[in-house]
Amino acid sequence: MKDVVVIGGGPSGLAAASSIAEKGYKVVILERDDELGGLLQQCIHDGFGTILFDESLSGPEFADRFIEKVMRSDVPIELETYVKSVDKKDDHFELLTVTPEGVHKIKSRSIVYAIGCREKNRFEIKIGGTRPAGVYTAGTVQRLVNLYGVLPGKNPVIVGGGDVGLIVARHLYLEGVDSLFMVYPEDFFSGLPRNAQQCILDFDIPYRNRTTVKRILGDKKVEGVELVEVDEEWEMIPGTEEIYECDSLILSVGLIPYSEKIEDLGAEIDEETKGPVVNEYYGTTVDGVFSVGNLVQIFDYVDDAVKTAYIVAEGVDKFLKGIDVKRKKPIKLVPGDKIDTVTPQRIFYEEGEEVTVFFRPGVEKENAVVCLVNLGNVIKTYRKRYLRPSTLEEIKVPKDLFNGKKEVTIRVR
Amino acid sequence: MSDRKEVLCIRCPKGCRLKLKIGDKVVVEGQECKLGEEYGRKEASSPQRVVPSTVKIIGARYPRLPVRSEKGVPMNKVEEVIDELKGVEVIAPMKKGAVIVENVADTSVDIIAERGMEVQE
Ligand SMILES: Cc1cc2nc3c(=O)[nH]c(=O)nc-3n(C[C@H](O)[C@H](O)[C@H](O)COP(=O)(O)OP(=O)(O)OC[C@H]3O[C@@H](n4cnc5c(N)ncnc54)[C@H](O)[C@@H]3O)c2cc1C
Ligand code: SF4
Repeated sequence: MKDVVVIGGGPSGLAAASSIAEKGYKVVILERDDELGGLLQQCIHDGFGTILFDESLSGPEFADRFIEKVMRSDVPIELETYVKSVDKKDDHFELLTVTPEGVHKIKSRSIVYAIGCREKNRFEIKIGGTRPAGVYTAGTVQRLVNLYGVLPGKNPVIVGGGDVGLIVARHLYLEGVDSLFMVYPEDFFSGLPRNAQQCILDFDIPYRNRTTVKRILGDKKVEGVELVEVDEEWEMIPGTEEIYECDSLILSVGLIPYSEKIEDLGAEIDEETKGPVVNEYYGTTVDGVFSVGNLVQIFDYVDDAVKTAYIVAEGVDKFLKGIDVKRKKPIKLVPGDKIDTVTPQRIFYEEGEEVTVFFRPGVEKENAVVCLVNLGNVIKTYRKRYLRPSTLEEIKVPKDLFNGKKEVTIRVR
Repeated sequence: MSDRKEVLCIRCPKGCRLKLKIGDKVVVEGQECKLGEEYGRKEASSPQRVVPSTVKIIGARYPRLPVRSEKGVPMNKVEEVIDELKGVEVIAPMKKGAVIVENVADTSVDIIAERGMEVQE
């Protein structure tokens, strides 16, 4: 019997496994791919690690820091091991894994899910038309270009101004497509401003805001798209349709946590983050099941995602030691006015100094005041120089602030 | 006499808005870490960008090896750097940090491997 199984060998899973092993527990990492590092192996641009290491690393370089650490420890790593299902037994969990050798069972007292996120597809954003070859998600293109040196087409259109799309646009431009056009429904790129600047504006790549793709054209291969203008509510404006010729369509329309598996286990899912509801130690609503990294919510920045992995080690430790100092009813942390998401969503334990709370602003605002509110009273305020929806924010909340409360709301004044 | 300018720090996703006061020396405000100060100073005089790309690798798990310029190159040299990488071919195994191209496009900056790659059929 293992103490802990960590599912997923991306940066969060690796960091979680190392910190848990340092506490003396028997941990194993299960990774479905044939190498460690997760998604970062295909993110070859720099900018990772500035918070954790004070250096600007590329994705593979950042991942390597965590891979090396795990390699130096005695944590066993099982590659090409896909976790198919997990069953909750009386006092342990039973995992069913699939490897090239066959199907196996593993028993563990607790589980840390670190399986990350996936990209939304064309059906989730309701693009109509035919189903020809040549429609890709931006992450797939990133993988094709950066690992295999294959371009998706000569004249791609990118729909959605998210980060992955912006970064892919720069790769495509520099690797030499004939033409490139980006459209997105927002007023301004939804990705980070830094990516808009260094990927699109630096190179004068053509783009159009308040525009989306209504239909895909072409029988066997993509021959074009029907573009349409949209209003502030992203409703298509009739009469503004226009055919644009292209040989491929790249979707960069958002990421979503991989929560199906953990939901099957009975964990409550947050409507806003689309990830599991977690407490301050990243425990889900199923005892003994934890969740870290991009599965909890989409962290734009992997440095933040990894912070959750350091915190989870404490939670696993408490669970395995049987320390049960839970509040009888966990306190809820909820997003209020001008806030889209808040994690953690629950405060379980009374002891501890402070809680690291992440929230995503719903508005762009300079010199903002962020308030913690209980029963209509402001109980603490934080000043933030610049809020914007594309950037996740972090605050430290003293634990005793939660005493005697049922619910605390975070809002922007 | 000093000039004021606002730029966005692109060293990491935080995207701090830097306020530059450009006089005899450059004063940077608004950065949340020390990389921002360096970035602000450079952006005031000669903007630079780290260039990520890939080169062909033979005998490894993937056909491409991710590489990048070891530090920033002048912004107007970015496309020249990419062009110079187009014909480059390396053979596995490759060590992380290995110099792939020295003094790329006469920038006195080297191109280095972002990761190691073992030999694999
Ligand atoms: C296309 C794309 C581009 C991105 N670009 C950036 C970027 O430029 N900068 C940035 O900061 N962030 C970026 N992100 C976000 C990125 O996902 C995170 O920053 C980081 O990878 C999170 O690490 P993680 O360990 O939580 O998840 P991941 O890195 O996704 O790791 C999850 C691991 O779990 C494994 N796994 C999944 N399911 C199973 C299973 N059932 N059994 C076993 N193993 C499993 C996967 O193979 C993977 O290795 C990007 C995300 C995507 C989708
Ligand atoms: S100043 Fe530091 S924290 Fe802010 S964007 Fe630049 S590198 Fe990131």
